[in-house]
Amino acid sequence: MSAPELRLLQRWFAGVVEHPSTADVALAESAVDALIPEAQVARGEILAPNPRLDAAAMLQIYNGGYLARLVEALQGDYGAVAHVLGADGFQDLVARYLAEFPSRHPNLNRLGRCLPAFIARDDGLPHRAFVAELAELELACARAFDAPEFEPLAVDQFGDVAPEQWMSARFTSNPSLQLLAFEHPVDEFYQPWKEGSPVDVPEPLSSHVAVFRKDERVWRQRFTPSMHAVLSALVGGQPLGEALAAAEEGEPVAEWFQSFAADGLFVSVEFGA
Amino acid sequence: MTSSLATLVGSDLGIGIGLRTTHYETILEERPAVDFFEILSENYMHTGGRPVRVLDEIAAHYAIVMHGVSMNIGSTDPLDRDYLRQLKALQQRCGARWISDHICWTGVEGKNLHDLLPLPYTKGALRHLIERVRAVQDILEQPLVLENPSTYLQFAGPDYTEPEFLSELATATGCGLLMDVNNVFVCASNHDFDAEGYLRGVPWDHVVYFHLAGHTTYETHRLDTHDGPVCDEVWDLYRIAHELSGGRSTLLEWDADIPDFQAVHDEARKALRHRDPKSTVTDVVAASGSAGAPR
Ligand SMILES: [Fe+2]
Repeated sequence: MSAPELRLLQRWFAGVVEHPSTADVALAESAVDALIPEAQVARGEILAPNPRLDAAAMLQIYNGGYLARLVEALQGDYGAVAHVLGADGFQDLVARYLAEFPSRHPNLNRLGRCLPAFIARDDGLPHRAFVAELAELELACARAFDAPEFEPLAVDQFGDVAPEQWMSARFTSNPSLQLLAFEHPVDEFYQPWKEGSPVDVPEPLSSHVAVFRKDERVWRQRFTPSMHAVLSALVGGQPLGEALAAAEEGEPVAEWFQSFAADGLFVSVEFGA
Repeated sequence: MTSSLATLVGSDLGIGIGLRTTHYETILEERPAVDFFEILSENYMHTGGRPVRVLDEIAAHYAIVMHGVSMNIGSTDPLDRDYLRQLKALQQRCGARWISDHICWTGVEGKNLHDLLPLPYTKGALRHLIERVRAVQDILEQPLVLENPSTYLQFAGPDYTEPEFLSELATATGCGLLMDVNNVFVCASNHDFDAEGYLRGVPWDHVVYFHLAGHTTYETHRLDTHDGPVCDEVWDLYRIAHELSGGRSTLLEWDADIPDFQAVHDEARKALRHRDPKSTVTDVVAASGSAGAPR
């Protein structure tokens, strides 16, 4: 018989490799068998015989490697989530995730982009609501790491700008900045985990975290609700004067703004008329 | 084309090592004497943070070559032209001498399986690959350098052996080849062929550089894991390959259980002894090799 067309062969091979079970199960699966019948594989018409491994065992090297490789890659971005779920729980999560969100990008650093949203609706996952938020924090860190290059705005170069002009200033934030509002104290869990002294999964409690890159490092900063509101307003394009009004009476808004600027959270400013 | 195949083949950069994140600090702070670094192209694409800044710094002081895993050259999907444009932009940024990837496919129907999957060595697959390599070389405006992969199965009814397939491909497209000596050994063991015979069939006038690496041995097969030193059998093959080729740039890959920079560099420099049996280089290294000191 003639060799199968290359495209057919690749579709069949991919079906075996990415199958969430093992290669022998995959070979018998109707969608895979419809491409190249299992019987044809068994007759040695597709793969050259190997005295030490049968066809399924050779294919299993690729099938097993696929999940192991992608689990390892996602573990790099989602180490705290993996810690909460345990090795088996995390591997099962990744297998379910890949079935719905296989990699479609040349770069592995994009693979986990949909994981927090997937977790949020992954029925039956232990501590699901907390783990979804924890995943969101870890994704924010990964995104901050990979965000495009930027040059932070040096606010002190505007020494001659009058205070009232500042009130009308609108800022553009740096592309690494992400503002997160959680229903759990996520960073209070994440930080000790990162330091090697993990704590128990916490009870719900509202929290706010900013994640950004500064000096080529990723930073997490816990915010009060007011700080979160002020910075969210600025990031949303509101003029400084209006954004600062989101704070409570008597809060040190000028200091906050100076620390935002010193952390390089803005890349440009426009002064109103 | 910016560089001809003859220029690439003729440029012996010496002994290089694969640039890995765990060694950034040592390289930036101590500036060790290394002939060249090979970067994993995708690690510096689609990112704008520390990796590209570190690369800028390292590229200012060392020769760089690029090695990718996602070109998907053997796939029946359309070529990813955006990926190729970004690859070229990265080369312009870091001044890499050449761009390499693997003779394999990594996905189909838009999915990336992130593995180097085997191709059947048939006339049809060869025609397909020739067309794709030509298209990529037109976009990159230079010869593409392609590596023989480690494989764990072979397809039934091939028209060519692997060296024959490489020769046909290289002759038809003018592409360069990256001869991974460890992969030759792993495949020879997995598929029961003679590794030395393989090397004698390689079109050496297309070979731009060598890869060396460690692998893992199981009862039924060998796996290309890059997690340890180069084994004796691979050094023996390297000596033969060096002789057959007349000498080429040589690069050590170490990707898992990576030891400190000095240990990786020392392992790579063992190649000097195998290139020239009279070389005293390992003694020189030992004498001056206080850990981490620039050499
Ligand atoms: Fe290699």
